[in-house]
Amino acid sequence: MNLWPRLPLPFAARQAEALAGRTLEDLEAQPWDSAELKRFAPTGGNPVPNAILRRLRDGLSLRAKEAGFPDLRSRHRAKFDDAARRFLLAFDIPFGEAIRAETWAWLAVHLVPHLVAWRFPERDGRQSVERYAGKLYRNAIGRLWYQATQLDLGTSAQDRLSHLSVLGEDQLVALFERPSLGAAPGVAQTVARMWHGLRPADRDEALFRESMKLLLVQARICRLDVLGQDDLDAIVRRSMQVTAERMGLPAQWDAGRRH
Amino acid sequence: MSQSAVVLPYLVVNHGPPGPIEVDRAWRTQDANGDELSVVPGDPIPAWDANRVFTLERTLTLSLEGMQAMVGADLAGAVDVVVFSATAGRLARQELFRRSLSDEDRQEIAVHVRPDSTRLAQDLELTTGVYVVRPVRAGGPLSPARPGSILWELTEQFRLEGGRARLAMYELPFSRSFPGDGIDMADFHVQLADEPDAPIEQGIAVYVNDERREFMEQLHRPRSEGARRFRESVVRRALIAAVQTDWFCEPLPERPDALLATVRRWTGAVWPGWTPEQVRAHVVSSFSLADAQVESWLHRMRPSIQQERAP
Repeated sequence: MNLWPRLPLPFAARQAEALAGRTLEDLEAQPWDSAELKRFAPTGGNPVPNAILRRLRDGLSLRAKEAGFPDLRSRHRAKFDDAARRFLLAFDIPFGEAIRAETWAWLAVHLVPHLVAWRFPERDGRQSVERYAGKLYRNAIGRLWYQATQLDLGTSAQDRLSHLSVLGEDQLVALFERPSLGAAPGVAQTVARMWHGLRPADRDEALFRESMKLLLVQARICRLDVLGQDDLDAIVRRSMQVTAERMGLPAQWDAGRRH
Repeated sequence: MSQSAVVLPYLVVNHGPPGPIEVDRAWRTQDANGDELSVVPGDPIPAWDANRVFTLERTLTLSLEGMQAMVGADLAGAVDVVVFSATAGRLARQELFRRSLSDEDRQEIAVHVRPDSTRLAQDLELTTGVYVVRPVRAGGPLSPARPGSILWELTEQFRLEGGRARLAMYELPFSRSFPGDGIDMADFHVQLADEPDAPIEQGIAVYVNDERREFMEQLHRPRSEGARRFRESVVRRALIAAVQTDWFCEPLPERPDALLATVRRWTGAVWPGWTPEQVRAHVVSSFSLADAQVESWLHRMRPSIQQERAP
């Protein structure tokens, strides 16, 4: 198994702060392949070869360019997110390495800082440090891998990430920053499928946010993971329905979809 | 210190003997040679790395009638024993074991799980639970009736990697890694993440200055006085730094191994009964005394603190 380089989060945060003010070109030209910059788990495999890291870097950079990189005014950053999720899903990063925030901290700070700086530009001369050195679900690149992995419908599906077409950034945050919901693929996928089944006009951002809060409360008293699919569907749908009623919003599901 | 706990809105099965559910405290597993041994929560999984194949086994003994009497519901045919794993600070969860209870009263369930090491990181948390999975006829308004109801649950954590949990320690040349900070000649440096609910292994990073040859030589002799003093100094410096962070007085996170929970456990031991606000005020106003108190506690607690989380 390949071991991926890691960067401790406090150190990554410090290095991310030091990136402030540098141009995208400068960041892109930064060397990343020196052994000194890499720390690996002491056992369990071999350090990932530079060729694989380069392939990852090139693949992500290509998708960013297709989405408008290096234009900081690009309105297509969501396009990068979508393409990068699919690329990362197909890329063979061992789960046990990719689930660590430190792995993505290394990638963000050393391998693709130019993409992080482009995707989350500085505000008032300050870097968004958590996008380099935060938790997995806040890391600019790591969160895309996590979302894709948890919502992956498998190789037999026509589109493995079809649910992502209806989940915007706001919904993904509401779902994956709550491990009670996002950490179990079955639960996350059920939420996504129910949302997908809702009539497009009824997919209100506030409805999603509030229904996730209600579902989170439900998850404290009802172990969602043990439910059969029909029961899980029912509880997720009910959370959305009850929330919609409270907010005075419509919530109807398309008849043609399984939901 | 106080911690919140969920109070379920229905009757549950009591923990602890005498009760209708009995479970071995230890799990049976294998060492690197395949020989059987026991692990209890808090232990490391022996010789774990991402290639390690291992199983965990133990027996759960249940009395269906006892559970029914306790929760006032007819549970026959409606209850499963399930074991879940969670890892990487609960970022990934999966079911490892499920067995439906039969209608017999006394049942012995041989629980056998085989976590996939390639999908584990940092920690392994096992939750063993007895859950309602089909609607049941409730005997009263407080009886658990709905699928998903938690009759009984036990969550246990095990450590991974290298045999015991360690703080992340990195050997770096300080003159190049921390230019301009004025710590070129320091032996070590401790940084805290701004993530109080991160597992402590992620939340504290320890850097040792590989340009300090004499210090490094002592450090690489684990039983040396220098190495011992270093371990204590790391805890001391991390504790003092944490007390002065914005998050030190925040409510405790759920995870007992979170950075904030660990640091507050330490300060609770140094200053028993003090509120976080009192601790902070003391450290700020009487730093020298506070530092000496921490040092004294470390000397008093030397074996346990080193076993708990020293690098």
